[in-house]
Amino acid sequence: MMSSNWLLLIPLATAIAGLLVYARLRYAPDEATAVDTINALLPQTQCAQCGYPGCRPYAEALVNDAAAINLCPPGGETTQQALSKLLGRPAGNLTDSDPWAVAVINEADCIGCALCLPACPVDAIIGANRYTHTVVEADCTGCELCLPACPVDCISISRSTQAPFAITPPPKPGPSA
Amino acid sequence: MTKTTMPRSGSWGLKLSSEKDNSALPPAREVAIPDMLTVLLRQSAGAASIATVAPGESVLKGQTIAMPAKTGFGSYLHSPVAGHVLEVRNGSRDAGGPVIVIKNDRSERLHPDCQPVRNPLNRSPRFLRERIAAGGIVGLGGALFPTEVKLNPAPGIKTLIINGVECEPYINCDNQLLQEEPHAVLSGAQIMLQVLGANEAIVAIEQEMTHAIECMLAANTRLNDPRIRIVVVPDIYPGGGERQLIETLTGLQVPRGGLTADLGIVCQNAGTAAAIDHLITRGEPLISRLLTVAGNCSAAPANFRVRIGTPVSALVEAVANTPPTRIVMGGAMMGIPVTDSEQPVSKATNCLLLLNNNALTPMPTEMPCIRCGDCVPVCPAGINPQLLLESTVIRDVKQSKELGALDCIDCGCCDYVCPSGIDLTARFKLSKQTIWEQHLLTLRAERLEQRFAGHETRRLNKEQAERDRLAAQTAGFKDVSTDSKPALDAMLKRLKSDRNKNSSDKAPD
Repeated sequence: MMSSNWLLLIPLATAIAGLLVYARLRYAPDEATAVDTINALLPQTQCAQCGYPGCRPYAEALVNDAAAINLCPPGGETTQQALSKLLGRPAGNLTDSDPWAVAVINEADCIGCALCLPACPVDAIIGANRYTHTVVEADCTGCELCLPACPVDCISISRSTQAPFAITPPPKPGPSA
Repeated sequence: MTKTTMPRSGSWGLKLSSEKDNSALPPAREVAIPDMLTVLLRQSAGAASIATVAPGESVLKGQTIAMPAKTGFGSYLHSPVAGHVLEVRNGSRDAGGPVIVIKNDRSERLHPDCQPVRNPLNRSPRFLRERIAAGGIVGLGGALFPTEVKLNPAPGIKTLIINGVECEPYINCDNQLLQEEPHAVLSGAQIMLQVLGANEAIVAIEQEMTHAIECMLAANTRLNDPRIRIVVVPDIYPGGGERQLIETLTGLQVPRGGLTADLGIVCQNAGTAAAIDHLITRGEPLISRLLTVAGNCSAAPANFRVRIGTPVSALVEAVANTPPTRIVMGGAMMGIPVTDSEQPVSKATNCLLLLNNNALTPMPTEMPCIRCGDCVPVCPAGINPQLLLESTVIRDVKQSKELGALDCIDCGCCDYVCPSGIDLTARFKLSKQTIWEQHLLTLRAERLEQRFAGHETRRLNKEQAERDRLAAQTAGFKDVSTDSKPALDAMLKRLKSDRNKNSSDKAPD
């Protein structure tokens, strides 16, 4: 009696196993989705401090090469915690970078060589050959990638006068007084 | 004209003692125009405006001295007096940004641009809207939303609501306005109807304001515009909130995250309507306003017509019989304490409360939430404040948003009823700030990601082009080494025969 009950379970177990195998194949986490999910957690400063050329490349490296999760100073502890939770890996040491940092071109020293233009990952420097360049503060992420590109060292990092999110919140209606 | 009285809708809100005189008021008092006026550059819902005058420059009364910043929701500002600009500097903490200081020369010369519009009701909506923007008109109910933006909604506006529900205790300046200048409010409403192309206007007034209701009814009968109705609403705080008033008048709720325009309604404060009338029919930009001065340190509550930029200290001097220990800008529920008595009156200042310790009760010690639920029925925004408090304390931004933190109108009803003395509204303000900051950071990240994608595409294309160019250059060499063996052999053969020929040519030498 007991053994026949046991036997009855075999087809059921096979069916469940088949279902699980199908689900695994059908709903396997696909690489592109994983990269998008991780990319959404990164601050998009494109600073390359992680050693990869930008935020998406770092997200790809996290998926493919198991890159370390404590390589993103602009994201800071918040990003590291989010990555740790998502990827199930322990957090490491990380120093937060200053979110208010922006590059400033000393216009008196700028020679208009245009070498810093391609160095900027977010195209935040405007200018042309033999014309003074300037940094569009609203788009600058303070990544410092333009600093080594400048042959006369006329770019420095300073603190922005506006918060990185300095767009005024849309007003909400309040009680009339 | 008949009046309609609306019943109370829902259970939200509080019945508060209004602390004001609702009978016929004496005319608004004037306060001496000070020698020095300070105009805040941030006097609209958007970012601070940009000064268009420099120190030393002379200005006339009504002259434009600042223009809106590019980020939107800004407004034009005008000089409240004739004189000259002393300085443009950063203001105190209360000022929330830079200020323009103007020295008054007491000549009161008006700028020639301050001209009335003839036949405004025959003008195009666009023309009137541009005039309203240039006149620096913003929502005078306190939110300072640029009126021109609010008068330019998606098409399909049917109803204009003129908000004369002055629900907060002590504040009495709209009451004064409705009694003194009912015709200006109605004329402003007509101009806004013209701009919006709407076919009805409802002037809503609180039940308690009996004399103001009579004045408005009389004026409306004289005007005899069938589009305008006077409606009386129950005196419940915060019944004058835009969304709360719409619910009372129409029974409709503005959807979460939606606009009143989604219901085909635009709501404007009565003071704003009068300011539009003064601008269009008299040519006066917004350089003065009515405000109430009350509190136990003032001899008697009174309404003043003051120039924007008058320091609070000038009003305290004119009214206080004992020195106040605390000055509150705004009403008893939503007012904000003034720390700097030189803080000037802005377009938003509707009330000053001069208080001393006899009127102030000490803050109770905050006790833990006991889940009594008293805050839930009073919330006019339909939020469950005790749940929102929890998610705010643990800084769960996502949950705070889902619980409707952004719908909170800072009315303070939950604070008022909380038996544990919890300062809920202050926490919700902080929570709203955090939600916006996170939202804006996300927007910024999206923009930067796009810019990086563009930059990378361009870089890769350039590199590919460089590789192609090199490949094209070396193409010839490849041919020699692999495919063109016969050609190479032929060339070598030719060279050989040439050399032989040369050597045979040389031989006779």
